Amino acid sequence: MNPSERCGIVVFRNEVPCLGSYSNGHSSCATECERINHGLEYDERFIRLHDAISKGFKMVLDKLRSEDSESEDSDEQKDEDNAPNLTVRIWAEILTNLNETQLANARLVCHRWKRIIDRSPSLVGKFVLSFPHGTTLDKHCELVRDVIASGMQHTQASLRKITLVGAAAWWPAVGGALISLTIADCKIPIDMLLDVLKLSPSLKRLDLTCGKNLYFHTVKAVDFQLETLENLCLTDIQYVKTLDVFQQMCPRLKVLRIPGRSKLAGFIDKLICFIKATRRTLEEVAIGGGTDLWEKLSDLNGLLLKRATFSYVAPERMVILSRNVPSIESLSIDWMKFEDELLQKLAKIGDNLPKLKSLTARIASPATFLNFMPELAQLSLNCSNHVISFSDLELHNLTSITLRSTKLTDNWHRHFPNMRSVALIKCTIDGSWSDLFLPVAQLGKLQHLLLYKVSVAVASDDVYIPDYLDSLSLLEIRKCRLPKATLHALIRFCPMLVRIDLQRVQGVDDDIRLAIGEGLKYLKESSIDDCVVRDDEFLEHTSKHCGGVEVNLTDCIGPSLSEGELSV
Amino acid sequence: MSTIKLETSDGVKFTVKTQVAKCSGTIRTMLEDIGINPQDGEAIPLSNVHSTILQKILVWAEHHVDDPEPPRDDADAAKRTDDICSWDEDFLKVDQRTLFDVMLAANYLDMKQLIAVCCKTVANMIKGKTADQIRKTFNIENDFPPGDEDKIRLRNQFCEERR
Repeated sequence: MNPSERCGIVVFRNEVPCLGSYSNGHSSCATECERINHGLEYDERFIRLHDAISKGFKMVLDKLRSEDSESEDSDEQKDEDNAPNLTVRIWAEILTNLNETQLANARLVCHRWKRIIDRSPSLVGKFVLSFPHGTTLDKHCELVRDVIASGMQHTQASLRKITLVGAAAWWPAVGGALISLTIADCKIPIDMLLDVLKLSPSLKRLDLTCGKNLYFHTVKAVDFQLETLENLCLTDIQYVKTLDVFQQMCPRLKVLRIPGRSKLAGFIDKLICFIKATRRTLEEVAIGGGTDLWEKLSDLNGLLLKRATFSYVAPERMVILSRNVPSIESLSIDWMKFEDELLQKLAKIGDNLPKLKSLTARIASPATFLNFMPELAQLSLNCSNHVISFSDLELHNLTSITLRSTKLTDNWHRHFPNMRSVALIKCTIDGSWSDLFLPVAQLGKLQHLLLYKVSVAVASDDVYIPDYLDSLSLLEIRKCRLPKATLHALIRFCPMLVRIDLQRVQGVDDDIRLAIGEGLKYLKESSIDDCVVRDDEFLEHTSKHCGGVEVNLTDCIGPSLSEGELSV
Repeated sequence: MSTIKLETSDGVKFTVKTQVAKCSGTIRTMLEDIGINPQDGEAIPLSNVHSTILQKILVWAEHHVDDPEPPRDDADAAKRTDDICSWDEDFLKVDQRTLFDVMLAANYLDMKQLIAVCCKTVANMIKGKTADQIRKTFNIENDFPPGDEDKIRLRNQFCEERR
């Protein structure tokens, strides 16, 4: 309904013409007058309306006058019938409670709300600036002009499959305040990329997928530094010079990620050179490698890394690395080929890293090396479809465990008296669902349980759960063939759930939805097959559902954990 | 127990425990920094606050007078709006006009905790609604020229993309 239509209905049907709508804006009032002057025949009504209109005009004039002197922070307008209007600052504080989707929706409400959002750095900071794939961005581009006109100072941007033209001229107004920038598959000459970076002086995080489109052939001298850049990710580097350029630009890097292995000549030497140049500030590296790289890196002194992801590193080399960098708190060893060999070395690595709190590795059982990692709080293991055994360990500090492709047998829970979070990914249970939930229910402090593609050897509808999982607040199940009866029992035994997320779970049907709605008193959010329902909406949904009324769920958004994160 | 007097815009005088009155940053500053002496018996004028609203605010302040200082909130952290305590929830079950009046007064009196809980309440009135439903809730007129709303909606799609 457009504004004039709405006003028309109100004025002609109401005894007292609506003052509320007059005071809300002058444009609708003008439309109103035209309409009335041209189309009215009844005298009595006319007089009444005339009075109202004069009154309306007075209010419009008052408003116009007050708008002249109105500062952004004090545009209160009092009205007899309506609630008083809040100040810009209060509205901005209200809006900080919304997430980016709700905030985007709030921008549609009216000019004032849009202006409040667009001019608040903390609210705009929730949006990620991006453009449709294939767009050519230049100073004449409507999208670019829109962003400039809105005055929004974006702090996050993601440019994918975009062509940039003449960016030096318009970038400051669009990306001058950026803190985080992702560039992937874009056509940008290197000179322009450098211009863009130079004109983004607040940048803290840069994620650049180089690819063939980014030409580093003719690099001009780098005449600036990104003093604030802490987090750099370079993917698909095609020219070794790229490393040179960024080494000159980034004096204070904390995080360096270079995924994948590069076969470019001279790459390893340049990379070692880069790491050496930033070693005083560098806290985290995640780099694909190669024997050469690890040899050279383990010879490098003075590294103060806290977090490291090493790929393709030989166990013996890993031991030397751990000896040279005892500051490591979080270690991830990817793509280990020599599983058995690693198992023997892990004890030594644990000895070398006294601060180790988090470990990700691909191993075979038994996990006795954990004895040498007493501080470990987070453990993520991929057992390549073997049985895991924790022998007689008792790990009091371990609060979070992720097991991938692991065969689970009885009593694995005994080793973790303080476990708070369990994620089982592509695991197999040597028995029925009871053999999974029996140990899980005995983890008395468990708050979060995630099951992804978990399968059982014995399919059976009966399930035995010995105790309530009364600390569990978050339950996520994806792609599991859980029978309906089992799911029913599980929901009944998790009375304290605050969030439940079921995606492509076999047993889910209307009865299960009903059980969730009726049985879970503390539930704030449920997501069932991509339908997300929250808070009061959720209650409304269930109450309607119970009454047999069909509910149309419109608010559907994707699952919180992406498939990519799970399938690694 | 020390008390002070407050006078509202409509001339009503309230006698309030000093401790309760100090829930207001504005009054606290007056008493502590500017050195107004509450024993003088003279009422502090609150020219922007009506007596009905002040009465309501004092009920809130009385209930929350012993609350510990809230932790400094992290601006980037996702805020929760489902953590309003049930007493506040009942307290704020009022018509929109009163709610907004309370907010304006709380703003004037600099009562951060009260403003925060009111803001959450209003945010909950926004969540899960379409733009049109929001306009109806707050009696706001759609002042975008026809077509502009669709244009913004289109732009929104690209703003919302997560990293």
